Amino acid sequence: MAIAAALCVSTPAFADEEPVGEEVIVVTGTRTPEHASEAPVRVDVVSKEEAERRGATNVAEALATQPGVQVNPGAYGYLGGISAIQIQGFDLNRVLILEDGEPVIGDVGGGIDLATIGLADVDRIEIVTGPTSALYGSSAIGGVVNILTAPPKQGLSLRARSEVRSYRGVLDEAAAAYREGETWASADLTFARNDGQAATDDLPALALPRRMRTTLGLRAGIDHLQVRARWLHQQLEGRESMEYPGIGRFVNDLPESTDRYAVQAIGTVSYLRLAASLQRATDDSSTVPQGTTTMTSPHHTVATAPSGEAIATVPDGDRTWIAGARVEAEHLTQSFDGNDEVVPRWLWSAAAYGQLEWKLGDLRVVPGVRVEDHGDYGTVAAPRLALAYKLPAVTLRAAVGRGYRVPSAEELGFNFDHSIYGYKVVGNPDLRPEASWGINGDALVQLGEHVALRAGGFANWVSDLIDIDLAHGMTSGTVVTYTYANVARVRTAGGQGQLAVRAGAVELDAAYDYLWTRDDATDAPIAGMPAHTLTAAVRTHYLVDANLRVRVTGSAYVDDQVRSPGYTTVDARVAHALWRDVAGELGVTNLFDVRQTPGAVGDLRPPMGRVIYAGVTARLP
Amino acid sequence: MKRLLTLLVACGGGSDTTMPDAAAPTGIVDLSVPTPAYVALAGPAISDATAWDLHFDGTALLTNSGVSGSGNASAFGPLDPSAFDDDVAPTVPFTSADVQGGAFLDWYAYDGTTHVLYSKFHVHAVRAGSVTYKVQLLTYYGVVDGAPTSAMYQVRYATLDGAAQMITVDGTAGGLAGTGPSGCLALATGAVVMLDDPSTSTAWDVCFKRDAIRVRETGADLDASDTAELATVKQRTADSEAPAFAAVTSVTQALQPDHAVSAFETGDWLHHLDQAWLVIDASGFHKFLINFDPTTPPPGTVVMHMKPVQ
Repeated sequence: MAIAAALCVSTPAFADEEPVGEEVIVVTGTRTPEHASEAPVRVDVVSKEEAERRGATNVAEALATQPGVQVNPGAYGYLGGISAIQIQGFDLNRVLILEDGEPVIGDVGGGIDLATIGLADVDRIEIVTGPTSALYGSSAIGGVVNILTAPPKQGLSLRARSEVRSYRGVLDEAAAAYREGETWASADLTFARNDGQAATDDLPALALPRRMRTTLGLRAGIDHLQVRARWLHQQLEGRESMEYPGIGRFVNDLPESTDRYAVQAIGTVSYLRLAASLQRATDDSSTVPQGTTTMTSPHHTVATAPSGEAIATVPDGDRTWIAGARVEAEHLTQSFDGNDEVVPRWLWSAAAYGQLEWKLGDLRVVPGVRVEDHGDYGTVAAPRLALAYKLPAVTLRAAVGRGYRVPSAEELGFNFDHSIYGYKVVGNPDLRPEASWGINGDALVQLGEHVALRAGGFANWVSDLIDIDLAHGMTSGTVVTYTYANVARVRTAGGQGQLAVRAGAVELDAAYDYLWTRDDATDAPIAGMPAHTLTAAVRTHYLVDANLRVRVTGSAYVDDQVRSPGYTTVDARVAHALWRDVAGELGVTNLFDVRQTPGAVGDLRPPMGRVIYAGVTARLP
Repeated sequence: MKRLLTLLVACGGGSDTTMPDAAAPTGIVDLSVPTPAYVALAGPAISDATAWDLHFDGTALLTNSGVSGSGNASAFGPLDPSAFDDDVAPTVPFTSADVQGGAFLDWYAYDGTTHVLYSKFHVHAVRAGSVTYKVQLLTYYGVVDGAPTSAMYQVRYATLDGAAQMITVDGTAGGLAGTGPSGCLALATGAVVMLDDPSTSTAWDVCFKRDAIRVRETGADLDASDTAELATVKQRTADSEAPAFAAVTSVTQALQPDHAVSAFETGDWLHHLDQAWLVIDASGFHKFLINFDPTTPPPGTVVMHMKPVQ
């Protein structure tokens, strides 16, 4: 099934080191390590090498052209706007982001900016689509993205990568590790920067801010204990230009500073895995009119999240039992202009989950359920049943399950007072969790030695979707006040066809994704979700490692009057060994410089134009 | 589930009918004009002031919200008459709670894309003792310490035959939450005082807060009939609208004190009786569509149709 595995795993960069289609072990689909092509739950993998081949400097860029996934940098239109992932028609708040199985905390709204997560210590990114709350709890409605590290190889290993990029972009990564038996330690350091992107030709405003990111990671392992610490510091320097009636145009600098700390310890005792984690994130932003020292609109956010989890994995002949328990808490504060913008509070939950993976000949049956109790909402239960049937050249998979998302601290207790702009958004403590049912089906067919096909489909039904109820603001004087509500019922459905061809030194991958969405409250599609996406990649590793990647994204509904135009991006990269373990690379992303129309509302095209990059990577051994 | 309510309103003199049984099987109720009526949309048809959604008082139609009541009711309209035929609440940008106001309720246009307020440059009449002044708001924005600042009202005012005066009034002290003192302007002297509770003082004629402008005596929007779209309003400037200000030398409109104003007044409901209105009840959760039948004789009587919607 090597060629079939190629449909699950984006193949490594140095094919002579790791053969095409080599089976990668995945864990995210069932929490059990399994070969990707044989796992009863479909898991797509982007390896670190593949991410580099895509010209990526962070997780957002690594997933930007991944079939079945949409990543919209700056999707929300404000400076420093987060890179928003979408899976199966669900946005970033309904896609769970994990690092080594641990949910990543983001801003108060819960969204994770994938552009802040570098790749230096990443081994691979696993993607599970469809509702997965039975294993991972809240937010796993559209799917789960698990960013995984791995222990280093035996002995001393060193790695350094340096790139220069358009827009005065720089990426420097260094990593060192030493391993002797089951004792090991590693450290990595990353610095990345790039200039901002002008919003228009005639104004100083930026569509994307200047970004500087530094990441330090430390990891160590002794026998059955692993610890990991990571620190991220990001500095954004945005700029906006506003015309105020009567007083003219003003240009504001928008500095923003983010720090994230994460410490995680994982211990294994026989069949038991114990994990403890502590994360803390702070963010400070403000507005400084140019030509003044006046700092206005200071914004300060602090999120702290401790958690503990115990998982027992017990093999029992053809059966593998998993039982787990998890407690987690998250404390959030957010202030604006010195006033609480979100009511400071602890959100806590305790969960128990179980899963059976049962091999019945060629059939695998994987029932599971998670019961989670939240301090604010009572108990939520999420079952899932996954089936996989494996024939010599065909693998069939199907899953039905429930997803849910509990309201975020922002949605519960927000006081987003933009009266100065004429509106406010306030939280709603009476919100209910969102809940979904979803089905997924998948057929993987190997045609001979060189060709594999895959076809799949999915459907989701979500009720009590939480959103700002823009249709029912409350006006008082000059200020309109909006609040969150369980306003929507949505349905999403879609399908995917994939083709993988491996012929000697040439590899071809192509995928077509179709997405249908419907907001039952408005009887209209969900805004910002392209219906058609075509991804094609060609790679040859004859003489040089050369890659060409094309992504065609169809137009997307924005509202009854507006559609975001379709667009095509082309990425290309060549890499070649320069000397011993040193490889050079030259690449371009967004070759044809496709960009958003300045000022256009809902334009999903990239805010970042063409990027040309060149770099060297040295590895030892 | 449609319910029917016949109302007599004082738009044509009305009759002095007595209130019949509110639980009449037909659901048709006549209300006496002199007696304010409280209507609970989910039934019973008429209730007392302890549990109501709409309040009919002469030509005023108020919602149980804001300055009119302690409920969470609100309304939006007028909507196209066909909206009443739908079983789903129409998508509207907002619903309005009742606010205290009058002459300055419609002074600005809002750009929802940039969240900027644009003055419509209406000329407002404000009564101060025996003198009538004209007042025109030029912008909501000023510059403080080099930074653009909202609620810094720039005001042009004058007596009807006098020269225009310009002044900036700081309405920011009201704070983001709308509490705190107002910037209050005495038109005769041009003095501005900051008052925590303007109702305890007579040393002002117009008070400005971040989200409201009120008059102490009476006032009127002399350009209330202006229906210009946002794009047109954005073209207006202090200079372009100066002639319109200067042209006002007399006032024929009736000046009124500030009062409770609902979406029905801002939507001029008496001239849009056949159109649909979206109403949220006092609980804040239940939506209703209502409209009025203007053809019912005698003059002064309207029939209100109402139905719950999703």
